[in-house]
Amino acid sequence: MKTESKEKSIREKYTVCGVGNWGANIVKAINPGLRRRVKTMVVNSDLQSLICSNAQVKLQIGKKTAAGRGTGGDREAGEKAFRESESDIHKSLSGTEVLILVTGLGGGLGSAVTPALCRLTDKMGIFTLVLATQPFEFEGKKKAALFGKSLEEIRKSDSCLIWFNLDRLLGRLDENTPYGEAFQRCDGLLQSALESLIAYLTAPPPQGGDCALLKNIFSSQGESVLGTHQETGSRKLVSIMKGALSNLFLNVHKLSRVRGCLIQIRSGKASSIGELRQAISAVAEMLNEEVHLAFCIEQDEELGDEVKVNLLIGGVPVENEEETSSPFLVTMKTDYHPPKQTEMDFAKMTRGNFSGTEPTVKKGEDLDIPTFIRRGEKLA
Amino acid sequence: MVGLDVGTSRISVLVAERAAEGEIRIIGVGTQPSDGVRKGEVVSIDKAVKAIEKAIAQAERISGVEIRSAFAGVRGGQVQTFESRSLLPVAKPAVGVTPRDVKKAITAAQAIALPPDFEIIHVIPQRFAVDNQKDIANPEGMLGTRLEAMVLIVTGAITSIHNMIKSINQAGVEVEDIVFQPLASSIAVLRPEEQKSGVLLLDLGGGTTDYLLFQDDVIRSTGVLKVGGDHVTNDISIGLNLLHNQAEEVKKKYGSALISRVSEGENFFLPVAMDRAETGISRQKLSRIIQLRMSEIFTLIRKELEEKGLFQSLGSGVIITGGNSLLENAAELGEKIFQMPVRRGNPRGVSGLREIIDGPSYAAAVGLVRYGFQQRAEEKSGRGKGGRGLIRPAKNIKGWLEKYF
Repeated sequence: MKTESKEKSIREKYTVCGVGNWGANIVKAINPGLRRRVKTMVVNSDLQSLICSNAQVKLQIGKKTAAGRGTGGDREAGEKAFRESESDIHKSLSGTEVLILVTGLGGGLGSAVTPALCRLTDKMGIFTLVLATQPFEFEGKKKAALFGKSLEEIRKSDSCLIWFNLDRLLGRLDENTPYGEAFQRCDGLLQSALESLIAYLTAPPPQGGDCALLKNIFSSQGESVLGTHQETGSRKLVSIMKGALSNLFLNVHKLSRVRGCLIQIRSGKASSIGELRQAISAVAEMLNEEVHLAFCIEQDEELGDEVKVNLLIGGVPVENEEETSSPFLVTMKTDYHPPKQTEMDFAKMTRGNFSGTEPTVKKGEDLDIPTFIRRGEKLA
Repeated sequence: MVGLDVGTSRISVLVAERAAEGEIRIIGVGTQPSDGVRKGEVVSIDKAVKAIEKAIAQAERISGVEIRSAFAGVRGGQVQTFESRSLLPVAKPAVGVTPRDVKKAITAAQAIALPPDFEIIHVIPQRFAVDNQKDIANPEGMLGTRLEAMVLIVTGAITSIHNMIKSINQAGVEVEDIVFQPLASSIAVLRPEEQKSGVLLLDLGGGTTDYLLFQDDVIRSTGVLKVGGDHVTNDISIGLNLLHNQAEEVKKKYGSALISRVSEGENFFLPVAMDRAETGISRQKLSRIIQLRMSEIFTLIRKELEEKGLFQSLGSGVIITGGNSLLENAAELGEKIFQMPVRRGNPRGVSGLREIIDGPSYAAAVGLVRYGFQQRAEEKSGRGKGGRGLIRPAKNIKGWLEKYF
């Protein structure tokens, strides 16, 4: 009885809310184990999407203004819908202390409602994290503009913003990947990020739950990047960590300028303190000594021999336009940009030809990763 | 006599015959890009079989001979070597050490604890001692009461060896014997005086870098590093944003293992491909990528030998062979890392089709052929044991006996 009510009170405290169609989808797919720890909610004007959702609380906003349909990319419509239902939203959120909003910023609902929600939660004193994605470049300029505006507004609030540039992920994939698989990968990325956040927030202190630390990691102008890696078998934790680091696909230059990192480790068997220390030091080394590090490590016996690591990096400096361009452009580019040779931006896996093979490891280093990367060389 | 080298980047088949004067003449060659082999090990038997079949067919066409069996080289599968010794009483001290005593001593030295999925590939006698007399190459006939044998044992993972044999069998070729590749390469490339004074042989292949250390005519250590020319190509592919085959071409045409030998401003151009315009790439940049990787390979091997306490006693230098040794300035880079003379080794001791096989890429296959002839000669004289069965290699004492007796 006692644990049940304790669980329930934790659940009330943490709410995960999907805003808009895409956000609703992500919330739908949360791993059941983590789902139990939070209250799930979906906010949408599109009735169809709400019906399909399995969230605990489904809030249809703008019943009058949107009449059960989506906003069709119209920001005004989204704003109207929110205003109409603001008190309902307020009611649903009472009792929440920490809120994670999941949304694709660029659509009518996501881009209008999310900033408004942030302003609301500021008033309510709820610590809010926004997990959002940037529209694909091929979606066009209008969405990109909506995204930019939303970003600005969210930043004005007290919320913690974690946003992903999905073109970066697409850029890593082979052009021949079927689009369904590609979009699934994007979903998977957000899912992993969301799960890491939930795991961290709901872990008992001193390990987790430090909202202020999260704020430090993620509140800056930069974007976020996720690197994950998993292995089965008795590989050292530090090697799996290095695998996750290389799966960030960030060059060394950028890695040294990120603001912080949330490390989530899930393993079937308990790791030793030595291994844990080594692994986390490896991250601190690769980044820079000043980064904010939050980590949460859990043992899940169901994983058996498997170990999964998620690295959620915050505050990656966004340099210039070229790096966010994806190969999936539908429109023809009139001016061609030759590849820059000053920055190593990786469109390929860092193990390249050797991805999918048993790595050659010597003294904890994966020798399949190019030597010049491991030595941190910037090739002029 | 057929030598079959199934490597990571290529498969080489050499058909040879013994000419009247005793010389070994190559009468057929088959070369195919390899498939289904990664880092020296077979990872896809189907793919490997197809590639092997092609290479065999080519060699058969050129030589006019049907290939039914071959000496095959193995590299992969976590090869480890270590020294072992045994001490046995001499059967009849009045008569002295007999060949039987020697055989018993060597067999006894093989009694080591092996991890479950490993087996002994080679047992290489190094030195003997009779009573207080040490450092004996050939103890036969010596009077004494105790015989001590020091051997080098080469072990490898059973599954990878069997996968290799299986692939070759499925391609229609029986495996006459399995040879640990660096041993074979050393036969092809080293001069007798080099073996005496002490030399390190590096076979720089596509998937692996194999090494063999000689000292005082004794093989002190041998091993496989699972990093090779493929890694250099991959580094280039990632660093310069090229496709794998483009990177391979660029490496061969413009690459240098020493950036100091490339002048600044030396650029090369890629052909127009897909959506890329012609872009000039600096040779220095290319060479930097290569140098870092090649230095690492050399350094890793040096470190491994240092850890075993063997590096200090390297005498006359290092010899590099294998396809990856063709990189410009590879020897010079080696000299920097090993701090001793480094030369390129080419296969020796065979004639015929020299225009084709005269290059480090064929050292492994030539070695297999020469080794094969040695083995057969031994069998005839009744010394060594016979060839292997199709499935499980027996623990044999290899042709090194010939060197010592």
